[in-house]
Amino acid sequence: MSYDFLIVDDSPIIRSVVRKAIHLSGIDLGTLHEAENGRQALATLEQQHVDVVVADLNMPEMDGVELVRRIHEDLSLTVPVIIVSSDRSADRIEELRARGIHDFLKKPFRPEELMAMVRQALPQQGGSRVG
Amino acid sequence: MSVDPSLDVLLATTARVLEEAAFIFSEPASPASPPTGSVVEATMTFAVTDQPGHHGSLMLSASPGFGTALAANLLGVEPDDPDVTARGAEALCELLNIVAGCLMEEWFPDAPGCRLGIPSARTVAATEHEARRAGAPVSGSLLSEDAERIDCAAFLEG
Repeated sequence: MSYDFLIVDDSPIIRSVVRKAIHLSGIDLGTLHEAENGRQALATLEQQHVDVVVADLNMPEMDGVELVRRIHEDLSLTVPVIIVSSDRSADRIEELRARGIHDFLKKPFRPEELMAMVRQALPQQGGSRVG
Repeated sequence: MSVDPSLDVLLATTARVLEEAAFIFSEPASPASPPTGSVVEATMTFAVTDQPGHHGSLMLSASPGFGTALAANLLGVEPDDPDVTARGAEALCELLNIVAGCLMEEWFPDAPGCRLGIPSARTVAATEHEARRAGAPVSGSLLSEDAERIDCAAFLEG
């Protein structure tokens, strides 16, 4: 079974790093979607199947907190969201956990850390298939 | 709330992030001469939650060549890879983003949280960069193993 991912980060470099980590994980990769901000991510999630979202927290237009809220409340999706961010603010992490994120990974991170989180996220859900 | 925006912590944090994220080793240094040519400056704002007086901006700067090398190391490719030649400024922004997150924990350990801005970068003449750096209350430099200079500065308000 292959899995579809959505990487959300305004930095193309970080999207590349996350993409490589997912490739290195050995997970059977389906489609790998990318978005520069929360707004683009929501548009993708409305139209595409995604098994795991890996998202930044600080992004222009729509940040990670708002993205998580709208995934759950507006789209009613249960897709696991892993937040990868340099922002370590306790209040924001607490808010994200309250909103039901799967996990939080601080930058800088080792690829193995992200790979472990992604693997752990996969069996817990049925993806965000639409239609 | 304790506030310790020390230069030592800024330099040590930047050096640690450079090592962990990009495998670039560096040490604090006092460059004998100012940079020449052009300099890439990455800046971003920060604000301590519930402490209106504690905010400011951070700046990391280096030569365009170092930016390219940094991009290559972050991506795990060779510096002459066409994928990284134009991504030096972006790489410096990402480095600053990570440094800022780590630094907030060190500088403001008792704060309930901090808000970080979106980093941005621009290329300026070295003379212009030096003038801006001279006005920073917290400012210092690192020197990489390849003798590349990385300037670190913080502008604090409140």
